[in-house]
Amino acid sequence: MASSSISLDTTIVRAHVEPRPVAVELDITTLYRRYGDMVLGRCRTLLRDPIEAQDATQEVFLKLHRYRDSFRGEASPSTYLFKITTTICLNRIRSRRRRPEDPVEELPPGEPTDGLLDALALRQLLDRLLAGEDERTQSCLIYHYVDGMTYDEVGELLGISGAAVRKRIATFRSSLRQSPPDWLTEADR
Amino acid sequence: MTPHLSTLTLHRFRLGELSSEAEVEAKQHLGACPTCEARIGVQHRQRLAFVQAPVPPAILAADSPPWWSRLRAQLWAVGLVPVAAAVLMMIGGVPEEVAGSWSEIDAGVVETPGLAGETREKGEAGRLEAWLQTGKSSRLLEPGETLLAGARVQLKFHPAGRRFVTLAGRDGSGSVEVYGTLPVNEGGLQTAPFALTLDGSRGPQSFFAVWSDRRPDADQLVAELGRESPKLPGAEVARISFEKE
Ligand SMILES: [Zn+2]
Repeated sequence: MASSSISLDTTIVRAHVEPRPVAVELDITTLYRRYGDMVLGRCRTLLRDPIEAQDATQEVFLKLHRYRDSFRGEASPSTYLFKITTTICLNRIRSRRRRPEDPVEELPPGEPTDGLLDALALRQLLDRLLAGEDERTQSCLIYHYVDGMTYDEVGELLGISGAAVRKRIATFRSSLRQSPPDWLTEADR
Repeated sequence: MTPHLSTLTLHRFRLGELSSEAEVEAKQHLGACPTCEARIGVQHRQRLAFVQAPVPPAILAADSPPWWSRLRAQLWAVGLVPVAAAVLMMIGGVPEEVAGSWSEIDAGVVETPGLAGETREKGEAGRLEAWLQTGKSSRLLEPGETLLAGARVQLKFHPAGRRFVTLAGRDGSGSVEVYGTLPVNEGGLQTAPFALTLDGSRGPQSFFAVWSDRRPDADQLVAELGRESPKLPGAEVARISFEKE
């Protein structure tokens, strides 16, 4: 077909180009109107860069087409969106650290977020966990320390047992035994 | 263990998504915990700011039904089978737009089903612009200009007082490709949420903007835009043409 003379170079289209017999259309706009603030707030909390947070929010919603099968299996869109937002933010933080020359436009340090750690503590946590932990443990630690989830809540979200979460967090904690930061002792009181 | 409500629980409480048991617990905790009260306060303020901002065009574009006709064109282009059907999955609501075909559209003022009594006036002229992107800058293309392979073109359009704009292109062989239908926002010049990169084939290249109050039927659109003077009753069409080398 001669209409191949033009290629669309947009992530929206890339997300759809999959050889599937049936395409499921999600109502992205409706989801955005209901959950967009949750996703944006989470991106601001984790990325602490308002511009990148906007960008990451769009990424989350535009990727829903790609994840539509697992999305359908979820009981609650909020839980699912919360999870993929975390994944996308952690991916961005990892690649940001590979390109330290790119400027990060920081939120003002005093700007409150809905997380449990302030900017400094969050940075310390990210430094620690990105330096030595696997991706699943990184997620466990974020959900527990930043979001205040119990071991069981984290386990349910990640599809592992609460005991497995407890073990990962305990291992991480013991690695900090020499000089435990304030936020660690506070959160585990 | 953590003594606080989780961020997700706070969101779900706010959204009324918790079980009645969990909701009672959350309410009790919030009444007694200034930290969590402050956290949910942040969420409420973020919600307020969020609802005042417009939905980004890229999000609206993700819902345009013709994305699958665009996908069909893409799949043909890479030699894959076209998508057989689109199944609409609705989460938490009904789709806001009602699909309609061109044949249902009358000229003049159009009543849109689902928006009782709301009408849109015709009369504002639609305008389509093509911009050539080079690096970080771009310039407005004059009709008839010659475009080279690899050129990156961004389409911009005025809303023209209609609910939808459909963007399409026609190459030298007369083949029409529909890029997508976007809900139109009020206001001035809008940019398509995608850019086009031209390949090496030669000949005339046209771009179209079709304004309408209903989503157009993709097949009818492809047929009509292939003609020299497209007949799309009730819709407004703008064309801009270039030479491709
Ligand atoms: Zn609390």
